[in-house]
Amino acid sequence: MAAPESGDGNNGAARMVTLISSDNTRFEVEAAAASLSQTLQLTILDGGGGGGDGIPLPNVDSATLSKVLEYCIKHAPAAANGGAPNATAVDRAELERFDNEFVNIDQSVLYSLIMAAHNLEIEGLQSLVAKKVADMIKGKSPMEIRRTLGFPDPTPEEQAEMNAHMLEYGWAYE
Amino acid sequence: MVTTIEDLPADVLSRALRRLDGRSLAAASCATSGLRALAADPDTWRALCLAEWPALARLDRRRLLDALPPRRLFADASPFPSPDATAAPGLDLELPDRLVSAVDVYARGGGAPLLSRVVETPASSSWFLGSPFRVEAVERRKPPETEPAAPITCPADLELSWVVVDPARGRAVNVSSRRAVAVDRHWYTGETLVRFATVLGGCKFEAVVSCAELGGVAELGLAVEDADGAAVAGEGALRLLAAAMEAPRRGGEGEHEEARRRYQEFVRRKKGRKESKARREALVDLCCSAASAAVVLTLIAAVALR
Repeated sequence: MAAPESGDGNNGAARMVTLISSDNTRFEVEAAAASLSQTLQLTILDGGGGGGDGIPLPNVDSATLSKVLEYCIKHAPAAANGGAPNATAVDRAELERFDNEFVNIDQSVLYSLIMAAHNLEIEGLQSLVAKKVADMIKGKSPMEIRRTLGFPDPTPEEQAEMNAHMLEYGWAYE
Repeated sequence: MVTTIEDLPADVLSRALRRLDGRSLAAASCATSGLRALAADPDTWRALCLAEWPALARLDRRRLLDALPPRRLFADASPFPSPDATAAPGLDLELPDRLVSAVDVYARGGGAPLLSRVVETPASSSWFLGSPFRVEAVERRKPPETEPAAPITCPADLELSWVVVDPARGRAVNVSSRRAVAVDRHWYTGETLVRFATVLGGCKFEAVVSCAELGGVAELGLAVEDADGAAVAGEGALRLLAAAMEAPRRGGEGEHEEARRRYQEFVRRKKGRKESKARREALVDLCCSAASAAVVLTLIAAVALR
């Protein structure tokens, strides 16, 4: 996304905004980073979030928000020049390494992160977590998927149902 | 508070499921009832089909795919057909009156296809039913077409998918071995012929990609041969295709190798049959000569002894 040279861009030194998590922790970040969120971008363009009054985010707790902001701050410079010519291969490799590290987290944290990315509409982060979830499922048998995703072992009835469905997808298992 | 994956909103989860390959998506939908409900979404399977066979996008645009439930299309066309799917001659299988082929040529290792074609074949005319079955995805032109999306540098590494769809019944089958079963050189034109074949009901469906020396595809067609090497006519080919569409599929990992093995066995058998036929003819020849020699000798003997 190309950032037009308007509003915050012209103010020279980065404009800061304040975000307030559901447990009332205040986070101060550059407007450019927070604007990766489609939801926040509109408020910020309207001049919200500056000065004393922050933007309340009742759906996001502080632990998740700090994680989200870590992502936004890392990705803001790349998003600002739209992945344009000056994004070198080294930068991209670095971002990729960061992304891989970033989603290497507990499932409960991952799910909160997914919800936050969804609520805040952060496109890049949404793809990243979707990819992570897909990677957790990819190449596994139904049973392995259950275990990976933390489901209890199936009851006999569930097992019977699973077998019936596996029969339906017989082509996938030989 | 979200504690399990099924507490996530449906659109978030479908987004993740859309990144899966068919086998993993099938496994996911067997794992839990929540995932099953999500994986039943036809759009997910449609996206998967279009990603797997870009040629189908053209059919999709012409609303030809509407009759095909995407999940079944995937289950039909992704695995290999069963080699012993024979239509018993007595059994009255309804033959398709129109075939649509969706053909994609890839370089091994994934990426966008080098070439995608859709060919419609009207299959009800008596002319079609009676003459040798052949479908051309790329026709040979007098001034060769100069349109290789990317020049083919290593013909042996080509992969081909040839999905034959019967739009009326909404069934499909993939008649290509995906990986080449043989690569040879045309003795006259110098083109590299990359062969992809599956054996169905004792007959060989073979698609040949002719790679011109400049890296373009000069010709790409599908033909069917019976065990003696004779071309199979349209009606026979339709019968085999209809049977293969109905028969169960084979989805194992080793199917690429299996397809190559079956091809080699087919070729060996054909050679064997030819040789034994030749031997039989030689034997008949010998018997005839022996018999006539005996007749002549008897005559001579009869004359001499009188």
